Amino acid sequence: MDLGSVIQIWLAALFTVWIYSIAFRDNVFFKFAEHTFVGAAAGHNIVYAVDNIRRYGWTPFTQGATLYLVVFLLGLILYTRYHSKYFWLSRFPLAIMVGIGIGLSMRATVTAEFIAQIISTASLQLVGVDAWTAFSNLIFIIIVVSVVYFFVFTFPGLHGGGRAVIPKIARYGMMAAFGYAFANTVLSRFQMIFGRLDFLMSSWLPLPGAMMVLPIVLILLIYAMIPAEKRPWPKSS
Amino acid sequence: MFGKIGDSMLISGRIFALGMLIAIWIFVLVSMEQAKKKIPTFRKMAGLDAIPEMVGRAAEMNKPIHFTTGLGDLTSTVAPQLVAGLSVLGYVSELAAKAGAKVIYSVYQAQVMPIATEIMKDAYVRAGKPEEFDVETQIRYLSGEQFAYASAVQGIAERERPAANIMIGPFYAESMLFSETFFRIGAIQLAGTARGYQIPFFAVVCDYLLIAEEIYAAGAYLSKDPIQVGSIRGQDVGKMIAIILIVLGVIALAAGSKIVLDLLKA
Amino acid sequence: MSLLIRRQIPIALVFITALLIMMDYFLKLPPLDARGVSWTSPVVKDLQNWGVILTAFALGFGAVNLFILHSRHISRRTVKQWPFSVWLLLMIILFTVVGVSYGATSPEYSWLYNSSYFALSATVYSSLGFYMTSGIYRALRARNVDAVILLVTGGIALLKNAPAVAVNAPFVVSIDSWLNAIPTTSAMRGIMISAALGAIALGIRTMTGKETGFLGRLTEAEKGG
Repeated sequence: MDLGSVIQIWLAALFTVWIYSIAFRDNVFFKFAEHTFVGAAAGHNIVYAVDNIRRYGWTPFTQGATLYLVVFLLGLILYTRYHSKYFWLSRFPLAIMVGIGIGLSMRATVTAEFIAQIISTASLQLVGVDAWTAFSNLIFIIIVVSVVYFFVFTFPGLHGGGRAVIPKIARYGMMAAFGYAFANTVLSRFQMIFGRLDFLMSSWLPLPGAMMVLPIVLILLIYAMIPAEKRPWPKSS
Repeated sequence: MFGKIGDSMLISGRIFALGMLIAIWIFVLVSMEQAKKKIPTFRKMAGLDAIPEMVGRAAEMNKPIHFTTGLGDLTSTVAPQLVAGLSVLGYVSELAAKAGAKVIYSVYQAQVMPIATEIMKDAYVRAGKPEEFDVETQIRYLSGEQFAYASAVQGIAERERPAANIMIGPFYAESMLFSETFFRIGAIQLAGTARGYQIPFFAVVCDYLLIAEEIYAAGAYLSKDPIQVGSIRGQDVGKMIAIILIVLGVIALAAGSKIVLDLLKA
Repeated sequence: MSLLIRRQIPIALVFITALLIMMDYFLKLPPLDARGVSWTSPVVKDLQNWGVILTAFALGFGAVNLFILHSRHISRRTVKQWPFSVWLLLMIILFTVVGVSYGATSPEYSWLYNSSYFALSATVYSSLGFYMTSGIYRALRARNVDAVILLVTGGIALLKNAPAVAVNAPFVVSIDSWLNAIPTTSAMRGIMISAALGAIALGIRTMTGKETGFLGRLTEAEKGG
């Protein structure tokens, strides 16, 4: 294995141990890893931003799409936000960004999340199927309808008196769904921890010196977790 | 003639969706007009009613309030969830400024910063304390990478120990990480997202929960602005139509007719 | 005039942009090109590129914020913070210089990326497992009927994954499948339908200038407009 790869594994392993330490208590090693991460991620985003401007703006512009000059100008206009008098100019590019987001969201939402879900629910058979399927489908429809009903905000009468049972059904249905979804995700998240531990065990620890360094890393980490006033040295870090 | 133009212009499979969009648009506009005359009554939302108490607690303990809008950005389909979160940010900032508590807003996407700056600045001006707003320490850009942002929020929680944590917007895997970290430091939490499979994590840990559509109604509920409340009534009418369509579809299908389904799929 | 430029034009820009994107999806607007594609398609494609470019430009706000905040820590020698601030700024500069000069796909940049960014990202993601454990503990505090229901369905979902349960009590697997197919899917569907309406109404408010948060600070005249 070349030296570059060895250093890479060491760095990745140390960062892994340091990041995990926050699950127990804040310490300087986590803080170091966190600042490394935020710095690296911000730098990485700048690199990709430059790349995106080149790819989606500069290239079409050099190929004759002169309209892209306008978007460069709009990009620069964003920074008038720092000017006390001309700050309102930045609303123009922001308006375009908001328009794109709202447009994409509305068209996707109305079809995939509204109509498609109504179609799927209205396609459920209550007759011509076995009794259990019919019963299950009926429960399904009742929950969908009652959950939609639950979210009615401005007709308070619909949530009072005898009708209060409908939002109650909705609430129970949603809690059942939340419990189920939660538990299913728990297991997949555990798998990920095992994946990371596997990296430490099979990629890092077999490297020369790693087994000796591991206890030192852990001792330092535990020491760093002791509150400053309770440890002999250093009193502040 | 119109039929011919219509046939050539409409895209099969999206016709009913377009009609529905136009119908909802009309309901919303009409309801907004009606609300100018008589503002509709809003049902109680405990999570939003708890905000003053959360802010008051933070002020009493002399600790900050942490606010974040998750992985929201302006140019993708989650933009409305971000806008919903920002509509609560102004309200929280104003209350906090009046009470003398500091709000820390953790930002994932840099494009949100100019908007958030103006919203918070405006809130401090309304509270009569513009000089107390410090943009660099109160609005923090935390990198634009999901887990760098998540670990930085954890760092803020552990070191600055906010008394309250408010999370409204599109949240992904970081939802559990945030709610557990803030729970551990004893912060009182309000969380809301329209991302269905993240709601359970908030439901299990947080003190107050806004479920999906409730986040979109939050701005109207807090501002009590007649036009905004009116628009919520418009979407309520939409819900009733959804219920009617489902019920009619099921009845028709049970009777052997696919007329409603065919209409929906038009 | 000033009000028109400062307030109405941005709202009009939101309206036109969003409308174009929606029209392109719902309508086939003539003139069509040789492939039968509506004139709005290339316009919307360009608009989406514009969104990517503007997002890239807006990143400067984040960089400025990080540089001001951490430079302040450094110049004030903030206890327990300033060395970390120096390091954070160095990391930004290192990534930017290597990435921009060698290219984001270069071996140099990939090495840097894999040693820190990638490992850190994977680790934070996997650390969710720790929080899940304490999350389960919270779920166990069955304070009311809602919490009991949550606990029961969650418990069944966990049980079905235990091999011993699957072998000795196959009915648990059947209950699990039913819970997934009926209450979970239906509740999520109800949530989705209502949330869709919320997002659409919010979109309408934004397009019609009733939700003006994105405009930021408004003068008194602008508020009245």
